[in-house]
Amino acid sequence: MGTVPSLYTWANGDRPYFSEMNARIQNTLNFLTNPPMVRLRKTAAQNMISSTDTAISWDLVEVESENMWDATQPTRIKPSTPGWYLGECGGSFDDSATGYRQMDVRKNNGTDRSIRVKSDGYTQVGATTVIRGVSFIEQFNGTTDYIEVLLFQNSGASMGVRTNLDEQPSLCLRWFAAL
Amino acid sequence: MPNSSPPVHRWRAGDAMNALRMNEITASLNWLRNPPTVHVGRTLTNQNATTGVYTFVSFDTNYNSYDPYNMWDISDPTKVYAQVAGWYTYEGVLNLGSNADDCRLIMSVFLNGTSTTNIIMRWDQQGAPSVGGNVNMRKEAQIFMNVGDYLTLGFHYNGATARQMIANSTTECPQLRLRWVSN
Repeated sequence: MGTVPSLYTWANGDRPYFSEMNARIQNTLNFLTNPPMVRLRKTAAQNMISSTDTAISWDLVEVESENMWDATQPTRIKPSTPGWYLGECGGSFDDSATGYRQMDVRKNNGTDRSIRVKSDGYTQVGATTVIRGVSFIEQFNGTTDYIEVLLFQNSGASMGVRTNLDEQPSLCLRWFAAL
Repeated sequence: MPNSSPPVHRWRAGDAMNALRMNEITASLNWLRNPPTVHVGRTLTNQNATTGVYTFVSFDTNYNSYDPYNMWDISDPTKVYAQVAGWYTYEGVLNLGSNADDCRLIMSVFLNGTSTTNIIMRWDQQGAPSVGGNVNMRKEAQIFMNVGDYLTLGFHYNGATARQMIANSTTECPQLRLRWVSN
């Protein structure tokens, strides 16, 4: 598990060695200017059955400053440093005029959701649905907590996510505060 | 203003604890307290948009006249530049006139260009709300930017009836906000 540098309370008479200056100041500043983060994308096709929540199976790591994603469990993002994280995610759907579209961020496979957003299908042929740039915050314990991003559509037929660069599902998580 | 985040000194044996070293700490803390930030909007007049193509917001207002890192210039009104490399959060906002066309509205943020391959964030929304009134979109994401990289905010729709980006007020209008968050 990663750790957030602790803060030192100075006392009169303190004469820090160089190693103590690094531990008490430099490490914290370095952490704050380079906090843990991950940024993922879904580049390959993935099918969604109608009226069923489908967890996005991520397949491209753009940035990962410490261990947060594992290819053996590709739907899960599990930060290894405890804290509050700012997240941003997005999904996409092939074109269909029927039904609505929905995206959830769900923690630990439970019933609680970090966010839910809904969107529409469009009647024009070829008009796909893209919902990106949805922000949220969530806390993680650095050991077992994880999130997944789930897409839902009720068009009555199977539907795929989009693979064009501007339409690919994406997710970014960045540490911003200690618990 | 500096064009990079202040370096964080790695202390070594024999380093003198002098004003120079201590002020480096101050510089880092000051940076974290006041990172490069700018917030621009189109607040004065509406802007027409053409169906089937992206129209890029031409901003006319720098909120609070706050732009210490010169990220936006009225002479280049569609672009917001990064003057310091790093990760940024950005938020795009559109305020659009509605009509009865059953069409798709798109808000996209572009990085360094106007092609769809430059799109880094995109949000689609129904063009004909069930209740009359303007359509608002507000989305946020994160991106790494090098010095000189820029963002633009684009609007696209595929309906037959002309639409405008509406400047109702300083809060209900097209906007773009950019803030440095880390190296």
